[in-house]
Amino acid sequence: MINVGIAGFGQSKFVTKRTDVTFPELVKEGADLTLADAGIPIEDVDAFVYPLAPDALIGVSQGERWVIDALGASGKPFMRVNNGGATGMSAVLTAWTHIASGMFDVVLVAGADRVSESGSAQSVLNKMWDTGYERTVPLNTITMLALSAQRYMHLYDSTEADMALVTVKNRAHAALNPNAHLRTPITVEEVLASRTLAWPIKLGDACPASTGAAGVVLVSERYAKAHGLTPAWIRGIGQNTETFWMGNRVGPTAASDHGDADALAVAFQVAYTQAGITDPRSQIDVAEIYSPFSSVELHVIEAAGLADKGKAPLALSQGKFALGSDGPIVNPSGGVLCTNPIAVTGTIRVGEAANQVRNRAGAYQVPGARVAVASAIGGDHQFYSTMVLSTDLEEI
Amino acid sequence: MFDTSTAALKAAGLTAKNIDGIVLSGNDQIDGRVIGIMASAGPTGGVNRDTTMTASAGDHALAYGYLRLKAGQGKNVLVVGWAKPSESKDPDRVELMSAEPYLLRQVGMNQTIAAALQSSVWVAQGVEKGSPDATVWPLAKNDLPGRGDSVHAAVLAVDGAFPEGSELAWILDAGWATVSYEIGARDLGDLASLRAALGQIATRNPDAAPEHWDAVEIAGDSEQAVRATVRMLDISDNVEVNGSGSLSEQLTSPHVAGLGRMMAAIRSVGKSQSPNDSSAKARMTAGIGFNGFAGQGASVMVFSSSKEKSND
Repeated sequence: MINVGIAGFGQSKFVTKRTDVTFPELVKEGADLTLADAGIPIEDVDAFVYPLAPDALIGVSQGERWVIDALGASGKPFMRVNNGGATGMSAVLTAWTHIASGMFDVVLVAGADRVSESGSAQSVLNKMWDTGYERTVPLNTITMLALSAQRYMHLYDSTEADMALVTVKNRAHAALNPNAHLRTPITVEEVLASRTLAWPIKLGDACPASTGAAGVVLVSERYAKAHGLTPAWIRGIGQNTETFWMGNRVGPTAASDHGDADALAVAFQVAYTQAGITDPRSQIDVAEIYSPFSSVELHVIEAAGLADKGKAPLALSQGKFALGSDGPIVNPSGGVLCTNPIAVTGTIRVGEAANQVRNRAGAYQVPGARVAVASAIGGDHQFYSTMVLSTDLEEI
Repeated sequence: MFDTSTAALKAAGLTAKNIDGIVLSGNDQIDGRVIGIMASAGPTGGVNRDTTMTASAGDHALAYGYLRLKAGQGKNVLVVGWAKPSESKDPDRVELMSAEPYLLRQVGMNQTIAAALQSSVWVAQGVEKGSPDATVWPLAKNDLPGRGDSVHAAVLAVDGAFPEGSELAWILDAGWATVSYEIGARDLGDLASLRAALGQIATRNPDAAPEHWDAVEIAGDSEQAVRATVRMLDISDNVEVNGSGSLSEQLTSPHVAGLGRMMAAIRSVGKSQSPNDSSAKARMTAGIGFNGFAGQGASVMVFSSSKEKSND
């Protein structure tokens, strides 16, 4: 088996809009920051996996072709992955496959997004549903996950205040992250008083539409040793897929329950099994998990095995998962709730997790972090990617 | 997609439950969906499975499926590429949207115009002639690929995961590369992406180089591009080129044209092989796909009837 590591992570400062760069220039920013962080020259990159989710958001179909020159990929193997919101992490998994195949030693995953450029991202995202069925509801990512949040509240007797606790925690973390988009601390009362987008999701429960760039560079153990690198090692990976149809997640014949994230739990378990994790609550130090709305973080924490089903709100109310608390710290970077450049959001989860186990996370470093888990979600809460990383290759 | 995927699985003696992973490829704008994989994962058996969409080209999906197996990610993988341009009011308009908004979109660039620009280079070099009844000079209608709906599905599996002798072909190697987007800065007649993709195979696996091929299936943007590819490969007249049909005879869409030709190359491996003749020479074929304007990207996959000719 070929061991693969994350040798570098770069990200820009995330904002609502950038008018100083074109899209390819923004992508170049992500690639340059990533390679500089790793100390790897572009000449050493054997192949490129490019994360680009809905290209409708940037207004260029097959937008990956436009950025080849900016990436420095001309003449080299290149492919684009699009698994919706999971894209940024699915691309990293695809890059892992490149190296694990034995055909490549260094693979760059770098990209960008400018979600606000499309005018109305939610109008664009409505077009991901079937024309003859759920597009007309009308679903978008907010209304879709509002339904999930309502179901979670019903199943586990939780409240809007429970959701607000997630935002309060993540905003406090993001205040320490100089690259995060939303960095202003917020109180439970302020979240509850913010305007309703689709009940129970309010503005304070929602991620921003972010513009910025990010990337990670993956290396084989052979390359790492030859060049004196100390990467974060990828110990396990998982992917799983949920049904497309929202209607199949409710009612007595439901294939799964829209309030939970059982298919994501399967993806976590696949990665955990590979990594040798049997008790995530004691073995995992950091979790960088994909939750664009506060309600999502609750059931992702549970799917990751960091709390029992329906018990994440109680743990949060006890101060768990926050920097400085005992046990796994969840989203010390502030997470997706504070920064969401869709195409690379999953890439950032991996990069932040890698930085934590490499002790390079700065003001939001979890002391002594050795094992981290990252996850991403795409489509209509449909595509799930997971990854376990560690400081070394010793038994977890 | 359901019908084609199910047929591929059935032909391999499998059902979706036996598949370790699925790699899909489609074009969201042609599909009229923002994230096409959402609707396509289910019909291909993707629910409760590891599913990935390589959106850059259908032939990238096949290459990635190959990588997955080499990396030990399961014993098999289902690869599916599709295009349904008939659902689109105006596929040419969709292709225009793949032009960047500052220059090429204003020019009105699409796949056909880019192919014509590329062919005009070969005309200028004197190796091709413009058609007197050109649809878009110098290309006539029959020089261009036929457009239509198409779905392609294949099951890839590692040695030992299926009954010996039931395989359609063994994969020898895969190379793929993309070059500059700036068509004004490229020598469009050079096919640089193909040269790079072939170079990868030649470096890793000289036995899979073009001089060993018995047949090749090429998804050019024009018949002129097919001929230019043949000139670059420097293959003998005995090598069968596009035996499955000319570009205009095979209805396809740019996104999956390369994958379609790779499937044809796989089928071609068994051609003229006698199952009872163990002394028969191993047959080697190749599929070549292009993606982007004027062959910005190219993929090559090489197949053989002989496991011994495989590097796995």
